[in-house]
Formats: sequence, structure tokens, C-alpha cells
Amino acid sequence: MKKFLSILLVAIMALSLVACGKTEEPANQGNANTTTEPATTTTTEPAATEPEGIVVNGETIDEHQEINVTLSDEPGTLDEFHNSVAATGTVLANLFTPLVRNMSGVLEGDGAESWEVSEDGLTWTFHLRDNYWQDGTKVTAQDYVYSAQMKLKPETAFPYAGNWYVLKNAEAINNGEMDASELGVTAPDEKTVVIETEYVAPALLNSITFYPQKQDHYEKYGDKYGTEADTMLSCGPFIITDWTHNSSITLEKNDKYWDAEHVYLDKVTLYSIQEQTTAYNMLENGSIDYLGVTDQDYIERFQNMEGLHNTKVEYARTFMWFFNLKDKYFSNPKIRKAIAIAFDRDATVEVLLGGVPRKAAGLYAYVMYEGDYNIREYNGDLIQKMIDENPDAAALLQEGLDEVEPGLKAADWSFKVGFGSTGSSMHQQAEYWQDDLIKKLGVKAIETSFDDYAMAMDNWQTGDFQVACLSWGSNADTAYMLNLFTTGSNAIPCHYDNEEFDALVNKLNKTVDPEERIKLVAEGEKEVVYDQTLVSPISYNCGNIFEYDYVRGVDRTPFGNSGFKTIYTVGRP
Amino acid sequence: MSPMNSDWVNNTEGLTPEMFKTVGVDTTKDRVLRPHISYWQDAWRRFRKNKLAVFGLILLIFLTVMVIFGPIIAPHPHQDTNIKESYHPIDSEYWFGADKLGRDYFARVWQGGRVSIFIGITGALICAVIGCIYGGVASYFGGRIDTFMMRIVEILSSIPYLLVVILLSMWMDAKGVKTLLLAMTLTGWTGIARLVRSQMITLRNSDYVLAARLLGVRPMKIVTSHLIPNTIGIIIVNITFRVPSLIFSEAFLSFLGLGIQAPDTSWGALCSAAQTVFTFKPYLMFFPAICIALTMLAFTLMGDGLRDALDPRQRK
Amino acid sequence: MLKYVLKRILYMFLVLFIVVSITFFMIHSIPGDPLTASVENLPKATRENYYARYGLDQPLFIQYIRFWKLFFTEGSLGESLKYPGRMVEEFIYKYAPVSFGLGIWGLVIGVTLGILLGIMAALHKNRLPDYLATLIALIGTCIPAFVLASLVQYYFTVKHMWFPTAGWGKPIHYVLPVLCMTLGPIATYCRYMKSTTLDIIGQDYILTAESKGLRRPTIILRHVLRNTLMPIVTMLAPSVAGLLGGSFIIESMFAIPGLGTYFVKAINSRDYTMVIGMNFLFTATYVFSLLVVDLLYLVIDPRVRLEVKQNRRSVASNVPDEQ
Repeated sequence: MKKFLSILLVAIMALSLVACGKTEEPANQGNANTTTEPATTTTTEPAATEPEGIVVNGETIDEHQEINVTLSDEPGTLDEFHNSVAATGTVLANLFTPLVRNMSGVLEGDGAESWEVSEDGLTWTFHLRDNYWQDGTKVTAQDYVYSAQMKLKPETAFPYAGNWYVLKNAEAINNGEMDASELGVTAPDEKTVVIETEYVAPALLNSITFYPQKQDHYEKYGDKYGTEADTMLSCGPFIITDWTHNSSITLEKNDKYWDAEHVYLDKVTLYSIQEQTTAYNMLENGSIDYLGVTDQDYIERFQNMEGLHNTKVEYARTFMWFFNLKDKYFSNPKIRKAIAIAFDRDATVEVLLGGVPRKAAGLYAYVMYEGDYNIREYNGDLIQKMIDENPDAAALLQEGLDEVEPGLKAADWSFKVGFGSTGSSMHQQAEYWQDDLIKKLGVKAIETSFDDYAMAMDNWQTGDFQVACLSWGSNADTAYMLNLFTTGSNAIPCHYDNEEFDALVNKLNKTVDPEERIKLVAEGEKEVVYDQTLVSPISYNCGNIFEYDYVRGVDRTPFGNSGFKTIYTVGRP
Repeated sequence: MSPMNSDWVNNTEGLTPEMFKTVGVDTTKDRVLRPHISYWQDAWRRFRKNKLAVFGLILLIFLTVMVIFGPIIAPHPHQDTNIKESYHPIDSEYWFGADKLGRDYFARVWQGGRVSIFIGITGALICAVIGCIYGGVASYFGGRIDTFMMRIVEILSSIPYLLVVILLSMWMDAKGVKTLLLAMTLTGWTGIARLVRSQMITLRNSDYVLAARLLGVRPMKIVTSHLIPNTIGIIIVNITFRVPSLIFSEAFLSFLGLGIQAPDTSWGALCSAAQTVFTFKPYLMFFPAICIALTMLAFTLMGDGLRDALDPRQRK
Repeated sequence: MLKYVLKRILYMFLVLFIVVSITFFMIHSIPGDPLTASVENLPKATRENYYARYGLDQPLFIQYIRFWKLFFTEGSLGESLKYPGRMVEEFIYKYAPVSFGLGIWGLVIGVTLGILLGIMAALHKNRLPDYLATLIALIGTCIPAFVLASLVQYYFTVKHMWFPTAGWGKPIHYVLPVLCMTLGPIATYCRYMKSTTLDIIGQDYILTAESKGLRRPTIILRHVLRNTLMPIVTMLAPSVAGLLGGSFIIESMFAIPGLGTYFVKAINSRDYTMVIGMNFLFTATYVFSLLVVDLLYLVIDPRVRLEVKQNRRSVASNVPDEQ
């Protein structure tokens, strides 16, 4: 549970949706007021006795602005090059200025004022605005280059380097074959950053985040950088003033930030809460201002509480079962399809998961777009299609079994499902699926095994499983998910070795035209889900956020990384 | 007159042999009024008379009967999920209500009891036996052997249990009750070994042990007749704690995939699953916890009774 | 005497060395590594670079030697893998006192109350105090810590907002966690105390004392308590040592920055250095506490003292003096 929440936060942090696929025109001119609710700020003349407060969107905001939230996990380190804890991203987004931010679904320049993309889609040029570090020095293009290079250098051992292989020469550098200076991130002058990619990635800016890092400051602190609040140097909307490890982090407004005028919060407190129940109690007594709730019982309780309102947010994370194509039985597509069809998604989503997620219709969640095309709209409900075409799952299973081992009856067959979690909710779900599928498929038994995530993943990667269950978060790049099924990929270890599929994905990587791209993406998804049933998607994660009525401006778009800069409170008691 | 004055004792003036007549020996008046019974028979008698202890025994028997027949008489099978009946309230159709997956909780509780009672009792007894023997041997021999044995105990207690469990789950392919017992008894006996040893160290310096040794009683007999009966109190208390503790450990182990496999369950597992929704659906926690508590109560009462029964000082 | 103490200290180090070594090899033989636990997209190069940086690519035995080398030359237990840049011993210095400071309150209060309750239960056998003791023991053992903690938290911080839900730093943060931590020791110690007290009361010398006319409280204080100390001390010392590790459940429930949460998470995230470092600490304190217990035996029980003095330490030796 806590693992899924922390990975959720990665999705929020690093990604965004290109709502307007203007890949060949200069993007928004970095107008700071392009949030969906134009914020007008007026400060009236201070009256002799009572100065009027700041007015945002027609409301006078509270004099003292603060927000209290939870962090799902204690950050490992605030050094972005060495951190392997997903929740850290939430803090980093507030301390630095990425080139662009996804604000309510719209890309806005933060570090950059404007940017262009070349015709072939492989070169991005960013024009930086004036921005300063906490110590007064300027944020330069070289800072962005330094950060990117460090991430790919082998000696840095950046855990998420894999996500940066989209950059030109990144993989070679990370392998030690090229020098870091060859990386496709360069600074022709102090205010220009040029990014070159290996393949066409229209969703680049929603997939990875380019932060600057000041080289001399970083080298001064070396290994100690990021371990304590006083080793940090900010250029973003907030500075970090306190870090009580495993307890709380305090951020305060950074007056040197270029857009400080529109940052209303004076203080942010992030509590490191590991235990869900504690977080729920903190929400209930007002110690925190908003929280994502997944327990059905608590959802009901909070819905009945005064002062709280509820927002549902959709994410790009797919919860699914996947199959080992190297297994004797699961190399047969009919067997895989039968299990995918028989699976009771309705009960799972509505009862087991409390109605919070959305039922899956394919590999991609409803929030995924390729250019202007919504993938779900374009490709339809592949799962329902499978079910409609094959109403009798048990018969289909028997057909598959006959092909693999003639004479083998389903009633004599059993298979194993592996889970990478040992929590009680996973156990409960597994027990339901076990009982339900045995009834629907008529098999003899279904064995379930529970291991901790690291061990489970290890087993899956070595091919020691038949069926397994996991959830996978996508970034905004549609090719990302398809890449997971190419030969040799071990991220979702289906062990699917198919040259044609690999060729399809390669072609996608070279295609610029959105019309062509969506066709390829749709074809890829169809193969993964409908034709080959490499995976059986169950649901798409959603968040059920309960927020106090006095909170305003929280940006919850999927792939958004606005941080806390847009938040303010009105009428906090 | 001082009683120490022996005049009246030695002065036989006036007494003649003719005044006395031999009457013989009357053996009938010298019968032993009660037959000789052994230590253990006496203990059993005393136990039977202790009302609370007998109640404890009956309670245990009742629980055992319920876990055997409960799932059979239940209206629905324990593993049958029926998602439409999720959280069905307690009524005549679902005697203990239904859990989240719509399974009959009455059936599940008693089905779970089978594993729990078996594991709890067997595990506790195994730990107690191994612990007693180990602790007894260590203190019996003393010296280097004692040192060596206690160091082994320390080593075993210091290795992180979670690691041991994970490794075991990797190596053992067969999951189930046997592996469970192995995992639990692997380190579970160390506590009682140390307790037994500490008791014996105290006791072996008692006067009566010293006396026995001076009399030339064989060491083994000293251990069994003197040391063990006086250690029984501690051992029994330890067992009464160990039983519920093992029941909960079993839940922990099953979560890690080592123990019983779904759809089988146990009281500990039911409690663990009920923890997060406890404030909303207390009955899910209530029933298995009560069963665990009743088991512990049964052992406590029987244990207290046993203590009293085996106490040599209370022999009549 | 001195020889005895010195020998025990030597054994202490030996056990520590063995346990840490076993743990080292155990944690490395579990599948999975720090990366699989947290990163989804892992190309080969990333993993290799990571291993190289943290020395995980060396053969296991070399890593083992390097661990000890680091310890003896710099007194360091290594850099944490999940929290890069921070040394494991820093965690210990900062957070062990937190766990200990919290736990000691729970233990002291719990043990004291437990002992008192146990003595009363023994003295008033089969009457109210006895039943009360049994009931408390039942509740303390059969209610899982999590349930108790969440009930306490809900009632005292949400329903009645008398205390902060989570956090650390002020005395008020101690109250609820300590409350939760006392129930366990009360339950355990009252039962043990009752049993040992009953044993002692049956002894002849107590009868003698009573018939001599000594008053109850004096008997308890002078004779009973002293003689019950052995088993209590046997259990107590390792419990005190265990306080350093903190209670995982209480600490995560009340968001207390103690060692408990770090240790459990370390195993799941395969933070090797953290696991080994913490195990080092726990073993050292545990073994040390056992040494203290053995030494306390000498202090408490004059017969043991005599025995050691005369080098006579076994039931089997028929010759009283073995020099």
C-alpha cells in the first residue's frame, strides 16, 4: 500500500500531459498567469488602520499561509543523483526550477521562458529566464547541463538512469563507452539549453524533469549534500528550513524565486507518516490539510464529515496480472486469454478496492494521450471485446490445455500466481481471485505465493513464475509502456521475444507524425492485450483525495509537477 | 520442680515386675489408614479437585470440539467467497456474520482454530521440552559445557528472526504446517532454556540439594526429583504465554508466505486481517481474539492447577 | 572472580562476531537488491554502476573483510544504501536514544505495576486481585499491539483532541506511546511474579518468618522479593537491551523517529549496511545484557557467589570443592 502511494507520487512529479501537441511552434511564452483559474492579485493601498489582505480569484486569502501534508515515505536523500526513494520527488519539485512544469495539464516554463522543437522532433531548444540561487548567484544553462551529465555518468550510479536513456548518447555514456560531455544536453550560451534525443519523444517534457544543480556547491558538500537541510541550495519556490529525519520537513517561501510574487504559502510542513491509520487520524483532527484515502470505510467516514470535500484523481498506473511466456502452459495464448477473461474485474474494483480505481479497458489508463488522441477513445475497450468474443472462459482454457498437453483436463490442472506484497489487503484480494477463478475455470487449484517485492521481482526476472501480479506506473510517453514488452526487457518480465513487436516499437520511436504514432501505439496495445494477452489489466489507479474546504489551488493533474506553488488557503479556522 | 530433675525417672521404689503384664502386639490397630500413592497420582487427584483447573480443561476440550465440528455444522463452507454478501451482518444465516469476501465467519473462525490450536499447543510443548532439556543439561553439567551451550542460545537469539524466516521460505518448497512448526520452534525454545537454567542455578545451591548430594544421590535423580518439580511453575507460566504468542507468530509467518496457504486460515491471520478495519467492523477482530483469549485462559487455569498439583509441599 | 568476568567478556565478543558474520551472509543470500526494491526501470548499466559505487560487485568475502576493516580502522558501520551520504552509526547515535528513552518508560512502569500486581495476586490467591491479574494478562497478550495503538490514538487524538496524533520533540509526545507500551510488560511480569512468589511463599523459611511474628510487608520486602529476583532479572535484561530496537508498530503508528522503523524497512529494501549495522548494535547490547544478568546472579544470590568462588559449578560434581 505504501509502496503504491509512493510510486503514485513519482507519476505526479515527473510527468505531464501535452494537452496541445504543438511540437513545431514555440510553446507558451512562460506567462506565469496561465493557470486554469487566472489569478488576479491586487494589493490595495494600506489603509491607515487596517491593510486589506491579498485577493486571489476574488477571495481574500488568510494572512498566514501554510499547508500541512503527508509524505508517504521518508526521503532517502535530497541529492537527486543518489536518491532511490520515489516520495523525494515531491520535495525536490519545490526546491528547484525544472525547465518546464506541468501546471493543470498545461506546460509552462519555469526555469525556461520559452522553447522550440525541431522539425524532426529530436532537438529541443530552451531559452532560460532570469532566476537566482538562494545564495544570489544566477541559475545558468550550465547548471542544467551539469545536472543531466551527472545523472548519466557511471560513477554517479544514478538509480533512475534508465529513464534518461531517451537523451542522445545517454545509454553509451552510462555504459562507460562515451564521455559525459557527449550527452545530448548542451549549453551554447548562458541562457540557452539544447536537448537532443535518441528517438522521437513528443512527451519528453512530461516524462523526465530537468533540474539545475550548482556544480561548485555540490562539490563543496560532496557525499554530505542532500543529507541535511543546511546542505541544500534552492532556486525554486521554496527553501528547506528544517528536516527532522523520519518525522517532518519544513519548507518556507523563497523570496528570490522569479515568480515569488505568485507564491502565497509562507510555510509548508510535510510529515513523514508510514502508517495509513495515523494519516487518517491526522486528517480527521485537522493536523493535515488533505490526504488520499483508499480504505472504503474511511472514505465513508470522511464523506460524512463537515468541512471536507472529495476529489477523484486518475493516474496512469495500471494494476495487472502478467504471464510468463517461457512457461510450458503460459506460452499458449488461449490459456492466457482464458484467465484474463474469467477475471472478475467488477467485483475487484467495486468491492475489493472500494470503488476507488477505474476498471481497465486495455494497457493504457484513461489519462494517456498520444498527441491529441486519447488512447482509450481511439482503441476502445479491448478487454470487453475479448470477453464478448469468448463468453466461455472455461472452454477456451480447455482448448488451450488440449493444445499444450492433449488429454489434460482443466479439473486436473493447477497453476501458481505470485504476489510482490505481503500485506493483508493483497492476501484478501488473492483469496477472492483464487476462489472465484477456480469456480469459473474449473481448475483443480490455484496456488498463491507472497514474497516481499524485491524477492518477488527477482524471481520474476529469472523466469521463476507462471503468473504474477503487479502495478506499473507509466509516464506520459506512450512508447515507455510498449518498450516494457520488447525482447530482453525485464521491467514487466513476460519474457516475450518477438522481433515484429520490437520492430513496431522501433518504428514508433522514429515517427513524428501524431496520426502515424497513434496508429502504431494502438497496434502495439492491441497486440499486448488482445492478440497475445501478455498481460491481463485489472484496473487503473485513482486517488480519492479528501481536502479541507479552506484549501485552494492544489494541482492534481496526472503527470503534473507544479509542487506547492499554486496552493493557498482561505478561511482556515 | 524442674522436669530436668531425673529423680522421678530413676526412682523405681514401689514398683514390682508383677504389676506389669505383657499384652502382646495388636497389629490391627496399626494399619495404614490410606493406601500409599505416588507423587503423580497424588498430583492428579489434587488437580481434579481444583475447580478452576478442571474448568480450564473443559474449556480446552470445548474449543477442540468446536474446531473439529464447527466448520462442519456451519451453514456455509469456509472458503466459499460470495462477494455480494460482503460484510453480511450477524444473523441466523451468518452466525458470526460474513467477512469482506462474503465468507461465513463462523466457519472461518473454527476452521482457523484447527491450525491455531494445533500449532499453539504443539509448538509450545516442543519449545518447552527442548528448552527444559537444554537448560537442564546446561546447568547440570555446568562449566565449559554450560558456557558453550549458552553461547549458542545467545547466537540464535541475536540473529534477526525476519531474515531466518525469509531464508526458510526460500529453501523450503513445501509450505504448510510442518514448515511453520520448524520456523517457530527454531528459536522459540531459547527463552525457556534460559529461564530453566536460571532456576536450576538457584535451586542447585539449596540446602536440600546439598543434602541430597552429601547423601550420595545420583545427579540425574536430583535433577528429576528435586530440580524439575520446582521449576515446573516457571515452565508452565511460560507455556501459557507461549501459546498465544505462537498463534500470533503464525499469522506473521503466514503473511510472509511461510505458513498455511489460502484459503486455509488461522486465528492469528484472521486477527491480522481484521486490524485495519477494526474501528468499523469490530466483530471481525472480536471473534478470533476471544478464541485466542479463551485458549490462553484455559491454559492459564490448567497451568495454575498443575502448579498447585505438582507442588510437593502441598502433598497430603 | 575476575577471571570469570574476563572470560565472559571474551565470550561476548566472540558471540558478537559470529552473529554479525552469520547475518552478513544471510542478508546477502536473499534474492533482490536495493535497486529492485525501489526502481522500476533498471537497465544493466545502471545496476552495474550502482554496484560498483557501493562495492556490491566485489565477491562476498571481500565485502565481508572490508566491512570489518572499516569498522576497526574508522569505527564506522558503512554508508546506508537507502539513505546515501549518511553513515549507519549516525542513525544509531541519533535514534537509538529515542527508542530507548521511550521504551524505558514503558518498561519501568509496566514492570513495576506488573510486579506489584503479581505479588498481590499470589498473596490473595483465588480472590479478586488474582482474577484481575489473570484478566490483565489475557488482555495484554491477546490484544495485538496495533489494535491497542490505533484505539488509543483514535480515542485520545481524534475523538478527544487531548494529544497530538504524531510527532516528536515535546514531553507530551511520550504519553500515548508509553501508555501502549506498558500493557505488555504488566501482563507478562505479573504472571511470572505471581508464580515465583507462590513458590517462595510455600518455602519453610517464610513459614518461620511468619511464626516469628514478622509483619507481612517486611516478609515480602526482605525475603520474598529478593528471592524472586532471579527469573525476573533473567527476563528483564534482554528486554532492556531490546528497547534500543524500539517497537516497530508503536513507532510507525505515532511517527516516532526511532530505530524500530529503520530496521524493518532496511530488510525489505535490502539496505545491507543498515541491516548488518543494526544487527551489530542489537546483538552487542543483548549479549552485554546477558553478561550483566550473569553478574547480577552473583550479586543477588550468595549461593551462586560461593559456588563461583569455590569453582564449584555443577550438580554432577560430587566433590564439593574442586580446586
